[in-house]
Amino acid sequence: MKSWITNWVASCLSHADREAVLGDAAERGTPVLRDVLSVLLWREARGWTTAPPWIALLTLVLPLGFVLSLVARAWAAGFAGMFWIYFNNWTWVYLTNPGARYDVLFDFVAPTSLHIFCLVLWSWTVGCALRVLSRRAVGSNAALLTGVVLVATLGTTTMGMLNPGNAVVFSSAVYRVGIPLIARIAFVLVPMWCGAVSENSAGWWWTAGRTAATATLIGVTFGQVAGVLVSGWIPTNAVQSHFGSTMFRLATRFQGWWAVLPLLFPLALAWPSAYLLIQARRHRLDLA
Amino acid sequence: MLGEYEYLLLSATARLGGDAYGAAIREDIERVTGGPCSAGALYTTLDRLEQKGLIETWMGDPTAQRGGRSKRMVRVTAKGAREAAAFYRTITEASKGIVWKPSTGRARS
Repeated sequence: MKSWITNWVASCLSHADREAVLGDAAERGTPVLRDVLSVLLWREARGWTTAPPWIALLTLVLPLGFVLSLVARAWAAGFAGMFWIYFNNWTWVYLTNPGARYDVLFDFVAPTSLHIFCLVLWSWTVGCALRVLSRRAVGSNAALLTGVVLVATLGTTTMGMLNPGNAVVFSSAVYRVGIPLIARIAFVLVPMWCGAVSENSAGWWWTAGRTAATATLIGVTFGQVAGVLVSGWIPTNAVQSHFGSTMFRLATRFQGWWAVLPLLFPLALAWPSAYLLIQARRHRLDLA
Repeated sequence: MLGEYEYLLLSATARLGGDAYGAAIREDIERVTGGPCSAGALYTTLDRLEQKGLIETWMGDPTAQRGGRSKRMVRVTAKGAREAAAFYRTITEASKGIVWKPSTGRARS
């Protein structure tokens, strides 16, 4: 187990560093994990003496961590409701009846797949942007982003979870906590870390294609993502027992100039891919 | 001007000559200072000195003693030698006429 952890941590070092540090530890007989962690932490700490990690923290980690956490939790609550309908109450009629088949396909499979694809693509793009913008402190910024994604929704709930009609689903901790947590780990954190630690830089056409896909998906889900700020982040201590009055309070939450805020929410998701596109364009011009 | 740890590293590298690499430099610094020298401090300082052009590093051949892994070999450049000499002159000049008394925590001129 310890050797597996050591190898995994050592894989975060460059090839040359790994050779030197692991070889030194073998020669001196010092604990390998301690030496590897020491090099990693010193490198990360040194990275924070420059501006890019701080810019990444303020423009990527905090805003995008918040957006991805809220959107993933809200959509996972939707997955949970569908899982409950189709797995807890499974009947072959879902497949034998043409109307039920249509519902399975267009109310469950299609929207769930779209949401999963969106989360994976956006999170991976954020990881790639972190790597490009904050190369020397990418590990600590990715760790901070992980923390933001996991804690941003603490002490809050969603409209779907509050709805008395869904009480039977969310009375189970598996649906209330388990599925939203698994969704955030599998569809946000894993792709984000993959993008952050990847050593390959994407080419111009690949980056342009990813930007186009990101923009298209933001356009397709714009209303849903904007709505998450209204209905997906309700402080638990502000919830009233009567669902109708809670809905009324939420409906009046963003008025006047504040009404712009939910519209900015999905646009924040476009920033990492726009940044990567600008960097790829600059790199391409440098090569030309 | 060099930092104290940078000077220690340059001195250890110069002393070790052709045998200067990560583990050997670390042992030399620990012997001179009598304290521990972390791998992180060593390798980040090597990076910084290399960026300043004060040392050159390259990967050596793998050895069985190191589990088949390569050494990061180090050599002081001419610029590094000039900086180290300037640091030594400054410290020597600053210390002239002073005798430190560790037992009392004072100095006597």
